[in-house]
Amino acid sequence: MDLGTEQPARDPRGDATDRDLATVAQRGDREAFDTLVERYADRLFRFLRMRALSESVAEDLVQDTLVQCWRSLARFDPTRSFSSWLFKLGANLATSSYRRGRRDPILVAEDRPAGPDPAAVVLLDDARNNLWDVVHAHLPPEARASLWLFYGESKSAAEIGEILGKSEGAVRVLLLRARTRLAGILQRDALSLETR
Amino acid sequence: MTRPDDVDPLAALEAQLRTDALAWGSGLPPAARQRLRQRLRRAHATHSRSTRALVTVLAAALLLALGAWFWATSARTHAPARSRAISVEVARLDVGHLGTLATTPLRNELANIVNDGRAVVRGVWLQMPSPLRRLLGS
Repeated sequence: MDLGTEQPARDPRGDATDRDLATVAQRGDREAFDTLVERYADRLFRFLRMRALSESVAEDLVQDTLVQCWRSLARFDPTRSFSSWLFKLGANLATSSYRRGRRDPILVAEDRPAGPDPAAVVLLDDARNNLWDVVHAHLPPEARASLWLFYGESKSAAEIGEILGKSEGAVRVLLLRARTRLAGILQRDALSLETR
Repeated sequence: MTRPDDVDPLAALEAQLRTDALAWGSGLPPAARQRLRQRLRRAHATHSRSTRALVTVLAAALLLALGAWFWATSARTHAPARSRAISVEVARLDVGHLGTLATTPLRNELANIVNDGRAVVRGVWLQMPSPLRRLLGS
Protein backbone atom coordinates (compact mmCIF):
# COMPACT_ATOMS: atom_id res chain seq x y z
CA MET A 1 0.00 0.00 0.00
CA ASP A 2 1.42 3.29 -1.03
CA LEU A 3 0.78 5.70 1.76
CA GLY A 4 2.54 8.49 -0.01
CA THR A 5 0.12 9.15 -2.82
CA GLU A 6 -2.19 11.86 -1.70
CA GLN A 7 -5.72 11.52 -2.90
CA PRO A 8 -7.16 14.88 -3.91
CA ALA A 9 -9.25 15.98 -0.96
CA ARG A 10 -12.84 16.65 -1.94
CA ASP A 11 -15.05 19.24 -0.39
CA PRO A 12 -18.13 17.58 1.06
CA ARG A 13 -20.09 20.59 -0.20
CA GLY A 14 -18.55 20.54 -3.64
CA ASP A 15 -16.11 18.97 -6.02
CA ALA A 16 -13.33 21.49 -5.63
CA THR A 17 -9.95 19.98 -4.80
CA ASP A 18 -7.54 21.61 -2.39
CA ARG A 19 -5.48 22.74 -5.33
CA ASP A 20 -8.47 24.40 -7.04
CA LEU A 21 -9.50 26.13 -3.84
CA ALA A 22 -5.95 27.28 -3.08
CA THR A 23 -5.56 28.65 -6.60
CA VAL A 24 -8.81 30.60 -6.31
CA ALA A 25 -7.91 31.77 -2.80
CA GLN A 26 -4.58 33.02 -4.11
CA ARG A 27 -6.56 35.54 -6.14
CA GLY A 28 -8.11 36.84 -2.91
CA ASP A 29 -11.26 34.71 -2.79
CA ARG A 30 -12.12 34.54 0.91
CA GLU A 31 -14.87 31.98 0.44
CA ALA A 32 -12.45 29.50 -1.12
CA PHE A 33 -10.02 30.06 1.72
CA ASP A 34 -12.77 29.61 4.31
CA THR A 35 -13.60 26.26 2.72
CA LEU A 36 -9.96 25.24 3.06
CA VAL A 37 -10.02 26.35 6.69
CA GLU A 38 -13.13 24.29 7.36
CA ARG A 39 -11.50 21.35 5.69
CA TYR A 40 -8.19 21.55 7.51
CA ALA A 41 -8.74 23.16 10.91
CA ASP A 42 -9.41 19.86 12.69
CA ARG A 43 -6.67 17.92 10.89
CA LEU A 44 -4.18 20.67 11.60
CA PHE A 45 -5.28 20.81 15.21
CA ARG A 46 -4.79 17.07 15.66
CA PHE A 47 -1.36 17.23 14.05
CA LEU A 48 -0.28 20.18 16.19
CA ARG A 49 -1.84 18.64 19.27
CA MET A 50 0.30 15.58 18.65
CA ARG A 51 3.32 17.82 18.06
CA ALA A 52 2.83 20.33 20.87
CA LEU A 53 1.38 18.27 23.74
CA SER A 54 -0.56 21.12 25.27
CA GLU A 55 -4.04 21.64 23.86
CA SER A 56 -4.04 25.40 24.37
CA VAL A 57 -0.69 25.68 22.59
CA ALA A 58 -2.06 23.63 19.71
CA GLU A 59 -5.12 25.91 19.49
CA ASP A 60 -2.92 28.99 19.29
CA LEU A 61 -0.70 27.32 16.73
CA VAL A 62 -3.69 26.43 14.54
CA GLN A 63 -4.73 30.08 14.50
CA ASP A 64 -1.20 31.30 13.81
CA THR A 65 -0.76 28.74 11.05
CA LEU A 66 -3.99 29.54 9.23
CA VAL A 67 -3.45 33.29 9.47
CA GLN A 68 0.10 32.79 8.21
CA CYS A 69 -1.30 30.58 5.46
CA TRP A 70 -3.65 33.35 4.31
CA ARG A 71 -0.85 35.92 4.32
CA SER A 72 1.63 33.78 2.44
CA LEU A 73 -0.81 32.03 0.14
CA ALA A 74 0.72 33.79 -2.85
CA ARG A 75 3.90 31.76 -2.26
CA PHE A 76 2.08 28.43 -2.45
CA ASP A 77 3.00 26.41 -5.52
CA PRO A 78 -0.26 24.86 -6.82
CA THR A 79 1.64 21.95 -8.34
CA ARG A 80 2.53 20.77 -4.81
CA SER A 81 0.35 19.30 -2.09
CA PHE A 82 -1.57 21.94 -0.17
CA SER A 83 -1.86 19.81 2.97
CA SER A 84 1.90 19.24 3.08
CA TRP A 85 2.51 22.95 2.66
CA LEU A 86 0.04 23.77 5.42
CA PHE A 87 1.49 21.17 7.80
CA LYS A 88 4.95 22.50 7.07
CA LEU A 89 3.83 26.01 8.04
CA GLY A 90 2.36 24.57 11.24
CA ALA A 91 5.46 22.51 12.03
CA ASN A 92 7.72 25.54 11.49
CA LEU A 93 5.59 27.71 13.74
CA ALA A 94 5.54 24.97 16.38
CA THR A 95 9.32 24.68 16.23
CA SER A 96 9.91 28.41 16.49
CA SER A 97 7.33 28.67 19.25
CA TYR A 98 9.10 25.92 21.17
CA ARG A 99 12.49 27.54 20.58
CA ARG A 100 11.23 30.85 21.86
CA GLY A 101 10.06 28.91 24.89
CA ARG A 102 7.18 31.27 25.41
CA ARG A 103 4.30 28.94 24.84
CA ASP A 104 5.19 25.31 24.87
CA PRO A 105 5.36 24.04 28.42
CA ILE A 106 8.37 21.93 29.37
CA LEU A 107 6.63 18.73 28.47
CA VAL A 108 9.08 17.45 25.93
CA ALA A 109 9.97 13.81 26.40
CA GLU A 110 13.74 14.41 26.21
CA ASP A 111 13.50 16.92 29.03
CA ARG A 112 11.75 14.53 31.34
CA PRO A 113 13.76 12.99 34.17
CA ALA A 114 15.01 9.47 33.58
CA GLY A 115 13.07 6.61 35.06
CA PRO A 116 9.40 5.74 35.02
CA ASP A 117 7.10 8.69 35.18
CA PRO A 118 4.24 7.82 37.56
CA ALA A 119 1.83 9.91 35.54
CA ALA A 120 2.88 8.17 32.34
CA VAL A 121 2.40 4.76 33.92
CA VAL A 122 -1.12 5.72 34.94
CA LEU A 123 -1.74 7.06 31.45
CA LEU A 124 -0.40 3.85 29.95
CA ASP A 125 -2.85 1.85 32.01
CA ASP A 126 -5.71 4.00 30.85
CA ALA A 127 -4.50 4.27 27.31
CA ARG A 128 -5.62 0.89 26.22
CA ASN A 129 -8.44 2.62 24.39
CA ASN A 130 -6.14 4.46 22.02
CA LEU A 131 -2.50 3.78 21.23
CA TRP A 132 -1.90 7.40 20.26
CA ASP A 133 -2.28 8.44 23.87
CA VAL A 134 0.77 6.30 24.61
CA VAL A 135 2.61 7.86 21.68
CA HIS A 136 1.63 11.30 22.89
CA ALA A 137 2.76 10.66 26.43
CA HIS A 138 6.03 8.84 25.79
CA LEU A 139 7.68 9.84 22.53
CA PRO A 140 9.59 13.02 21.68
CA PRO A 141 7.86 15.66 19.50
CA GLU A 142 9.54 14.81 16.19
CA ALA A 143 8.86 11.11 16.56
CA ARG A 144 5.24 11.84 17.45
CA ALA A 145 4.84 14.19 14.50
CA SER A 146 6.43 11.70 12.08
CA LEU A 147 4.28 8.82 13.28
CA TRP A 148 1.15 10.94 13.09
CA LEU A 149 1.88 12.16 9.58
CA PHE A 150 2.65 8.63 8.44
CA TYR A 151 -0.24 6.74 10.03
CA GLY A 152 -2.75 9.49 10.71
CA GLU A 153 -2.30 11.57 7.56
CA SER A 154 -1.00 8.84 5.23
CA LYS A 155 1.97 10.92 4.15
CA SER A 156 5.01 9.32 2.56
CA ALA A 157 8.45 9.54 4.14
CA ALA A 158 9.44 12.04 1.44
CA GLU A 159 6.46 14.26 2.25
CA ILE A 160 7.13 14.02 5.97
CA GLY A 161 10.71 15.01 5.26
CA GLU A 162 9.47 18.04 3.36
CA ILE A 163 7.16 19.01 6.21
CA LEU A 164 9.70 18.52 9.00
CA GLY A 165 12.73 19.74 7.04
CA LYS A 166 14.49 16.38 6.99
CA SER A 167 15.71 13.97 4.35
CA GLU A 168 13.59 11.00 3.40
CA GLY A 169 16.21 8.65 4.84
CA ALA A 170 16.27 10.52 8.14
CA VAL A 171 12.48 10.24 8.35
CA ARG A 172 12.61 6.49 7.71
CA VAL A 173 15.12 6.12 10.54
CA LEU A 174 13.00 8.34 12.78
CA LEU A 175 9.90 6.23 12.07
CA LEU A 176 11.74 2.99 12.69
CA ARG A 177 13.14 4.21 16.01
CA ALA A 178 9.77 5.57 17.06
CA ARG A 179 8.03 2.28 16.32
CA THR A 180 10.75 0.32 18.10
CA ARG A 181 10.56 2.60 21.11
CA LEU A 182 6.80 2.37 21.18
CA ALA A 183 6.91 -1.42 20.94
CA GLY A 184 9.41 -1.47 23.81
CA ILE A 185 7.17 0.73 25.95
CA LEU A 186 4.18 -1.49 25.27
CA GLN A 187 6.20 -4.59 26.03
CA ARG A 188 7.44 -3.14 29.32
CA ASP A 189 3.91 -2.13 30.14
CA ALA A 190 2.62 -5.62 29.43
CA LEU A 191 5.34 -7.12 31.67
CA SER A 192 4.61 -4.67 34.47
CA LEU A 193 0.92 -5.51 34.27
CA GLU A 194 1.73 -9.21 34.45
CA THR A 195 3.89 -8.81 37.56
CA ARG A 196 1.26 -6.80 39.40
CA MET B 1 -6.12 -19.84 10.37
CA THR B 2 -3.60 -17.52 11.93
CA ARG B 3 -2.54 -18.26 15.49
CA PRO B 4 -1.73 -15.32 17.79
CA ASP B 5 1.94 -16.37 17.79
CA ASP B 6 2.10 -15.98 14.00
CA VAL B 7 1.07 -12.32 14.07
CA ASP B 8 3.97 -9.97 13.42
CA PRO B 9 4.01 -7.62 16.44
CA LEU B 10 5.24 -4.70 14.36
CA ALA B 11 2.53 -5.21 11.73
CA ALA B 12 -0.04 -5.41 14.52
CA LEU B 13 1.32 -2.22 16.02
CA GLU B 14 1.12 -0.45 12.66
CA ALA B 15 -2.41 -1.66 12.10
CA GLN B 16 -3.44 -0.43 15.51
CA LEU B 17 -1.78 2.95 14.91
CA ARG B 18 -3.75 3.35 11.69
CA THR B 19 -7.03 2.32 13.28
CA ASP B 20 -6.58 4.38 16.42
CA ALA B 21 -5.58 7.47 14.44
CA LEU B 22 -9.15 7.71 13.16
CA ALA B 23 -10.47 8.06 16.70
CA TRP B 24 -7.68 9.94 18.45
CA GLY B 25 -8.13 13.50 19.63
CA SER B 26 -11.00 15.88 19.25
CA GLY B 27 -11.51 18.53 16.66
CA LEU B 28 -10.75 22.18 17.23
CA PRO B 29 -12.91 23.28 20.20
CA PRO B 30 -15.81 25.62 19.31
CA ALA B 31 -14.34 28.53 21.31
CA ALA B 32 -11.01 28.19 19.50
CA ARG B 33 -12.85 27.97 16.18
CA GLN B 34 -14.69 31.18 17.01
CA ARG B 35 -11.39 32.93 17.83
CA LEU B 36 -9.93 31.58 14.61
CA ARG B 37 -12.82 33.04 12.59
CA GLN B 38 -12.31 36.44 14.26
CA ARG B 39 -8.58 36.42 13.60
CA LEU B 40 -9.12 35.40 9.99
CA ARG B 41 -11.72 38.13 9.54
CA ARG B 42 -9.18 40.65 10.83
CA ALA B 43 -6.51 39.16 8.56
CA HIS B 44 -8.88 39.40 5.57
CA ALA B 45 -9.67 43.02 6.44
CA THR B 46 -5.99 43.85 6.82
CA HIS B 47 -5.32 42.12 3.54
CA SER B 48 -8.08 44.12 1.83
CA ARG B 49 -6.75 47.35 3.32
CA SER B 50 -3.25 46.46 2.23
CA THR B 51 -4.51 45.64 -1.24
CA ARG B 52 -6.41 48.94 -1.44
CA ALA B 53 -3.35 50.83 -0.22
CA LEU B 54 -1.19 49.02 -2.74
CA VAL B 55 -3.62 49.78 -5.56
CA THR B 56 -3.72 53.44 -4.52
CA VAL B 57 0.06 53.67 -4.41
CA LEU B 58 0.36 51.91 -7.76
CA ALA B 59 -2.25 54.22 -9.31
CA ALA B 60 -0.43 57.28 -7.95
CA ALA B 61 2.88 55.95 -9.25
CA LEU B 62 1.29 55.29 -12.65
CA LEU B 63 -0.11 58.83 -12.79
CA LEU B 64 3.26 60.25 -11.85
CA ALA B 65 4.97 58.12 -14.46
CA LEU B 66 2.45 59.20 -17.11
CA GLY B 67 2.88 62.86 -16.15
CA ALA B 68 6.63 62.54 -16.30
CA TRP B 69 6.39 60.82 -19.65
CA PHE B 70 4.15 63.55 -21.11
CA TRP B 71 6.41 66.23 -19.72
CA ALA B 72 9.49 64.56 -21.16
CA THR B 73 7.80 64.08 -24.53
CA SER B 74 6.65 67.70 -24.80
CA ALA B 75 10.04 68.99 -23.65
CA ARG B 76 11.70 66.86 -26.28
CA THR B 77 9.35 68.31 -28.96
CA HIS B 78 10.01 72.00 -28.19
CA ALA B 79 13.57 72.03 -27.04
CA PRO B 80 15.14 70.87 -30.28
CA ALA B 81 13.26 73.56 -32.27
CA ARG B 82 14.63 76.29 -30.03
CA SER B 83 18.08 74.94 -29.94
CA ARG B 84 18.12 74.36 -33.71
CA ALA B 85 17.11 77.98 -34.39
CA ILE B 86 19.75 79.22 -32.04
CA SER B 87 22.40 77.00 -33.49
CA VAL B 88 21.48 78.02 -37.07
CA GLU B 89 21.68 81.66 -36.09
CA VAL B 90 24.98 81.12 -34.38
CA ALA B 91 26.25 79.18 -37.36
CA ARG B 92 25.12 81.94 -39.72
CA LEU B 93 26.86 84.59 -37.65
CA ASP B 94 29.94 82.47 -37.49
CA VAL B 95 29.98 81.88 -41.23
CA GLY B 96 29.44 85.61 -41.91
CA HIS B 97 32.21 86.56 -39.58
CA LEU B 98 34.54 84.01 -41.02
CA GLY B 99 33.65 85.15 -44.55
CA THR B 100 34.39 88.75 -43.69
CA LEU B 101 37.65 87.79 -42.14
CA ALA B 102 38.59 85.64 -45.12
CA THR B 103 37.68 88.12 -47.86
CA THR B 104 39.06 91.29 -46.29
CA PRO B 105 42.65 90.80 -47.55
CA LEU B 106 41.35 89.93 -50.97
CA ARG B 107 39.28 93.06 -51.06
CA ASN B 108 42.18 95.11 -49.89
CA GLU B 109 44.36 93.54 -52.55
CA LEU B 110 41.73 94.16 -55.17
CA ALA B 111 41.42 97.79 -54.10
CA ASN B 112 45.21 98.17 -54.28
CA ILE B 113 45.30 96.61 -57.72
CA VAL B 114 42.54 98.98 -58.86
CA ASN B 115 44.44 101.94 -57.46
CA ASP B 116 47.66 100.77 -59.04
CA GLY B 117 45.86 100.35 -62.35
CA ARG B 118 44.48 103.83 -62.13
CA ALA B 119 47.97 105.15 -61.29
CA VAL B 120 49.47 103.28 -64.22
CA VAL B 121 46.78 104.56 -66.56
CA ARG B 122 47.28 108.14 -65.26
CA GLY B 123 51.06 107.81 -65.74
CA VAL B 124 50.68 106.54 -69.28
CA TRP B 125 48.20 109.38 -69.89
CA LEU B 126 50.61 111.95 -68.66
CA GLN B 127 53.39 110.49 -70.77
CA MET B 128 51.41 110.96 -73.91
CA PRO B 129 52.13 114.08 -76.04
CA SER B 130 49.78 116.98 -75.41
CA PRO B 131 48.31 117.12 -78.96
CA LEU B 132 47.42 113.42 -78.71
CA ARG B 133 45.90 113.88 -75.19
CA ARG B 134 43.81 116.75 -76.54
CA LEU B 135 42.70 114.68 -79.47
CA LEU B 136 41.73 111.69 -77.25
CA GLY B 137 40.20 113.91 -74.55
CA SER B 138 37.86 115.61 -77.00
